Amino acid sequence: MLFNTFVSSVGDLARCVNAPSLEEVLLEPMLLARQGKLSDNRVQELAFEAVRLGLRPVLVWDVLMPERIMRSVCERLMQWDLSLFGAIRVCDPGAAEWLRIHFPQMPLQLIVETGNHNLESLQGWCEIFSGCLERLVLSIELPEEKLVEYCQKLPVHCELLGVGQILLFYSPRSLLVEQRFEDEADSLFLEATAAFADSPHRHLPTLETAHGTFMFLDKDQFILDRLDALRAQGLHTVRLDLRHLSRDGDVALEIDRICRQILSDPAELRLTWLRETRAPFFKANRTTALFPRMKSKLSEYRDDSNLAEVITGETGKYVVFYASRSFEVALIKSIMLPTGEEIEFPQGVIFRNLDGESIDTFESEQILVTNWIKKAVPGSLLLGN
Amino acid sequence: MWKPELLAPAKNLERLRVAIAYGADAVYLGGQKYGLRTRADNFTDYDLEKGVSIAHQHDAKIYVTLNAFLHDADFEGLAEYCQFLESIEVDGAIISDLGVLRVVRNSSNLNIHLSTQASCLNSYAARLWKDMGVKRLIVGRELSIAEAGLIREQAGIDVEMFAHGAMCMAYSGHCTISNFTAGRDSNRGGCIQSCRLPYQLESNAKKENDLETFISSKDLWGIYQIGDFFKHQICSLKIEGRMKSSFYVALTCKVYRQLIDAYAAEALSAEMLKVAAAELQSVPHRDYFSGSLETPAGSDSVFGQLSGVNTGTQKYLGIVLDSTPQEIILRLVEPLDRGDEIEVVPFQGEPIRLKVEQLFSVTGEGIESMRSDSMVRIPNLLEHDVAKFNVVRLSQR
Repeated sequence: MLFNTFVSSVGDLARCVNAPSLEEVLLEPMLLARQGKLSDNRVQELAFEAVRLGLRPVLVWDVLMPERIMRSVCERLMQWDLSLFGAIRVCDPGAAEWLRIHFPQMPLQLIVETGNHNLESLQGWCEIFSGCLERLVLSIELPEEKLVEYCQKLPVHCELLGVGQILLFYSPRSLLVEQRFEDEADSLFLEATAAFADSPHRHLPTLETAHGTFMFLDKDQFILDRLDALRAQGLHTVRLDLRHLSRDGDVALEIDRICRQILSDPAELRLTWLRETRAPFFKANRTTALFPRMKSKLSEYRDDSNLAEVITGETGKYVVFYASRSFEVALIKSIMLPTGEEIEFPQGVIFRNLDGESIDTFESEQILVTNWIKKAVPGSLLLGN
Repeated sequence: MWKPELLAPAKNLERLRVAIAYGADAVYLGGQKYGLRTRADNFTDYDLEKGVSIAHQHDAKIYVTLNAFLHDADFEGLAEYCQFLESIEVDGAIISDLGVLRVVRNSSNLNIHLSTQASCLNSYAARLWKDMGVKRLIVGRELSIAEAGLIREQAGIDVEMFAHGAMCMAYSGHCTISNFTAGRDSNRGGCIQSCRLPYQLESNAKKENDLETFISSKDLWGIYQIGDFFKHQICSLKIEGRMKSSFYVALTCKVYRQLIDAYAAEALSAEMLKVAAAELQSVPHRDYFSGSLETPAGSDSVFGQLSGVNTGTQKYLGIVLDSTPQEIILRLVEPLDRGDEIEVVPFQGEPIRLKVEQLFSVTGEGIESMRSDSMVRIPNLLEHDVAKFNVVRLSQR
């Protein structure tokens, strides 16, 4: 298992050279990367220097690409010497397709961190880009058990964020400038925090760059002390994203020490990490458990057995049903309440049409009025045998 | 003259009927699983079969959303569900997850529409999805109509665009605030709309003491771009809002139906647009703007929600559940008093204004007022042409 990290200076590269198990560095040009600050020339210089130092430079192209931007970016990229890079990592499938067509020999690393939470889609991407795909960058919303399975089953290497900020929100719109932060030092890179009104102490880091606005969780993803199973099952790369801890233009501060400590004492590394840490979905993705509770309890009864629905009523006076289908009174079995409680249909209830006539056969979509039925609140279903 | 399809949302069978009655050419809706609106009523298989039948009787189409990003366990029953959808002649399935696409393609012959959740933004991506079997792209809302038209030309694929409704501030599918702060997966139907919440902003240099809804987007409207949709042959104009009321569905369908038809007949006028804008202002919304339909949405696209949600210029009163030449049976969502003035919005033409001179309960008892969530009978003294599923609003006071 190897590490990689973002770099933006020669100093970063020097530290990476001294970092055990780190062979690959990620370079972010302003042109292509969400948080990129490097000019076209600078990124190519750093790539050249990385190669000279025995590191593998990977070009980060993680912005999404609306057609107007895609055209101009691709024109500029055609002027670059992409052979300087060991691989290019992209997020937009269109960017991946462009590379496959124009640079078929260039190894591709596809970021599939958003969605793509199933083996079927991951295998799909592997098939689509089979000639050039060397790695999939997987989502931290996947639990360990699934990550292990995917590392075993996928035909390409996998990468996972080991430590770093958790991205919550990516908008192409400029949202901090509007909030009067435009007078701050670097207008192309505005930083702020945003706190929910009801959680004023949770400051969510928020960033605006040339590519839009990004919001992050206030705690870092950290699984560096829980990598044993993934290491054993062949996870290829663990990304160490220290960009939010940057200082004076360096984004890989102490990467050499961090890599050594991951290998020697990762638990201690967690304890001394500069920010609070968590890995909310690593053991289990509990967001799944919520969905059955959000569903209506009556959904399963909305079928052929559903004769009519209560649409209103007046306590002690009447209940109004709206017939879902044609039926006869003899078919009626019970009433299912919105709470999921089923009550017997009371004896002596008389159905009337809007003319007040007593009826016992009903047409679909007919409005039916009965005497008052206790508990039969709007939304209750009249069920048949 | 060729016309784009008008595509409306439906939360349930009532909304489906309303959408079609007010002019939608097609309706999109969700089943019990695999979609993004967990809290919507959503259609059971039984409702869906009925919905398809109703739609096809009116030459309208039905598209079913299967656009959640699924985890492995969520795939259970998906292939069988696709076969069911095909058997009842659903006209298309809306997907965003490549895994779902592969299951749909391998288990059925359903037409596949790529959801805006997949953020397809350029012609290279469009070609890729087309090669994977996608028949129609619902492109990202970050694109202009001209860009979407270019993608259509370059990739040779039908392109659908959102023309109206609420917008994600983030690239669709690229917001996980709910996932990490509330434990609810926004891409599987659990979005808690964190973008609409107020935040306090702070930087090293300054602190904004006022709360700001700085990631809440204004609502989209495309009434002033109808001609561009035609020019760039956008195949379908989509109205957002599977959680919204029959009033919203009715008004938006009616307005866009009129504008599309008028443009096709070379009869679209400034006056017509003015009326259309006023009608759309009558439903609740978050201030309208034209999104990125012409130029990329700028910093003025933020909706200052704390100054008050725009509840619309007119209040939704209810829906006609039955009518005879003599009376209107109205299901109320707001209280009604005798003496109130109301407007019935017909499927076509000018609103019908009525003063409620007499009011009766559903059992025929004369009453002075009736609470919301109930039913009333209103004499139709002038025998206005009021139809079942007409929506009714309170007149402006």
